[in-house]
Amino acid sequence: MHAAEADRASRNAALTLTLALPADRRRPVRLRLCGPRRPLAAAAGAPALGPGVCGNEHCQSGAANRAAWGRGAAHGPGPCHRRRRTYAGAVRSRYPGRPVGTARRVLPVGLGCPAGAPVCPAAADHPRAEPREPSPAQRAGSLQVWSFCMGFALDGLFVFGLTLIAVAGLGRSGVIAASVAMALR
Amino acid sequence: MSEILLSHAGGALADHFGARQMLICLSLGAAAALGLITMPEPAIWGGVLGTVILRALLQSLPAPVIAQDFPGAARVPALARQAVWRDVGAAAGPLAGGFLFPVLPSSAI
Repeated sequence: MHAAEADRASRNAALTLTLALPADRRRPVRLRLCGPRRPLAAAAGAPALGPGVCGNEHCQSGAANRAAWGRGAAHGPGPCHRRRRTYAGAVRSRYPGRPVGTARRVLPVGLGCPAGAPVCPAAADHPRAEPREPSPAQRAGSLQVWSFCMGFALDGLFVFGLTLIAVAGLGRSGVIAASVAMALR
Repeated sequence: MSEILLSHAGGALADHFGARQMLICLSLGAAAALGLITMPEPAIWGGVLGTVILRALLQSLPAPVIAQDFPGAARVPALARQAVWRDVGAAAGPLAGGFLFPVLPSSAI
């Protein structure tokens, strides 16, 4: 995929997600899989029908809803609506009298989000530049750090640690280990 | 003694696998071996010997890496910097150990 195609796909996905998010959070994932054009067209109908989907349980099975989501053409009855019914049933049985779907009805307030979508490509940092070779200064810096760490750990603390081992009461074997290591080194 | 015996092996490994790769792998191995020194007595032997062996293998590797990275006139100063910083670390290690000894247990140091 070229950079321009990736940008377009990313923009389409963001628009689809933004348009469809208020009414159904899981739908865009499935919509994204059914083609490059239809998700946007399908999601464009989502804001208008979002309150209906969220607020009116009977409305969700309407033909207009199905057409708008592209669900009848592409997927058949969606598990998302079944999940919603299951969730609603569970909430009703656990909290009798509590209204269901209120939060989802509030979500379409986020429809102002599409305004941000065209801004994102312009404002985003484009990280597609080829990775640059480290400069000589960076190479020198990393080698110096490595050299210091090697001297610090293997030449400095190691010898100091051998002395501690011999002193720390590890017995005769500790002294032998320290002596042998120092002699070998 | 270990450097005399094992530096050639380190050079051969660098020829075969690449000096930079071996430098990274052996450095990680040396760090692991140092970690073994904090273990109880059977493991301490492996830690000590592993550290000595890996340190000897490592000794010959920085020079070819520096030779690759710094061609021409920049090579000798880079080699000098590497030697100086290693010696600075070697001096700082016991000093840090001395300061930490009253504060931390010996295994932590």
